[in-house]
Amino acid sequence: MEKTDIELDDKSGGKLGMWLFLYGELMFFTAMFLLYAVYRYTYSDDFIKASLELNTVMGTINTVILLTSSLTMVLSINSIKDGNRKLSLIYLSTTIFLGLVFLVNKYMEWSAKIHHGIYPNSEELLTHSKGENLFYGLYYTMTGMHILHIIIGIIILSVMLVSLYKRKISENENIYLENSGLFWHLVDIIWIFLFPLFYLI
Amino acid sequence: MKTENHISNKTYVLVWIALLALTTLTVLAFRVDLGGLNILVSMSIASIKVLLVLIYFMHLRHEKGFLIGAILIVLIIILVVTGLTFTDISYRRMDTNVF
Repeated sequence: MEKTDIELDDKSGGKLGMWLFLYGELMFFTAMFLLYAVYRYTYSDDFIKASLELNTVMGTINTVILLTSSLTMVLSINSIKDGNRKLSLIYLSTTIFLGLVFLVNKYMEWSAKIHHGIYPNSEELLTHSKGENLFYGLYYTMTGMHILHIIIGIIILSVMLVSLYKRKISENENIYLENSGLFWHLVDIIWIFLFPLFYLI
Repeated sequence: MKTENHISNKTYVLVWIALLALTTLTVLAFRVDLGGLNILVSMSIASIKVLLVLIYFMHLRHEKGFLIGAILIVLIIILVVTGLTFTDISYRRMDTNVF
């Protein structure tokens, strides 16, 4: 009698864990967005004034970078599902690269602000109005947490890159890559909301 | 067994182009002063972008109803919590004793 192997392959269930985690992260950022909403409602003029000092061009470039990285992420997943390992590696590397570019941009933005003495609790900032202090407190906190998520995302994607290279991720076994992609898209989603709220008031 | 691609590369690129177009739109809308309507416009555009990412890039289009239901519940919770917060703070004086 032949012993048949039952292949357990639950495509949706395999992603459930990541989705649950994403909901948690979403709630975490929602709390901060809520804080932002309340203080913006209270100090609208100050928020508008403070927002003008942020570089809209940089913000737009960063948005385009993250949106493109999401594209290369899904193209990478599609490639490996088609069995094209090389192409998948290229797309995944591009995603990681774009994430790093985003980090460099953010570093330049932050250091420019810090150089002008604008950071939470700085002497310079404390001379400004309450609303502006709140704006920058929220700006640094929220973009800071976002940067942390980008870094975590880059680490995860790098691990995936190695797995892909070593063929641990393949045509038939690619749920890890999909889940990593889900995390990366969350980072993108958060930025899609951060951008207009801080840069385009 | 080759896993099927539900969503083609071409669709992904089209979604990406739509996202870039919406980004352009939101930046342009920023330059036009619509007063109180500005935030509504930018949040609406951002919501559409997020929906595009969720449905196409995150494959919700082809997921089982369970996952779709779950994200809907999360989004509703977020809306309710936000709404309820505003029913509270709309009637408070917030500009004193903040620090």
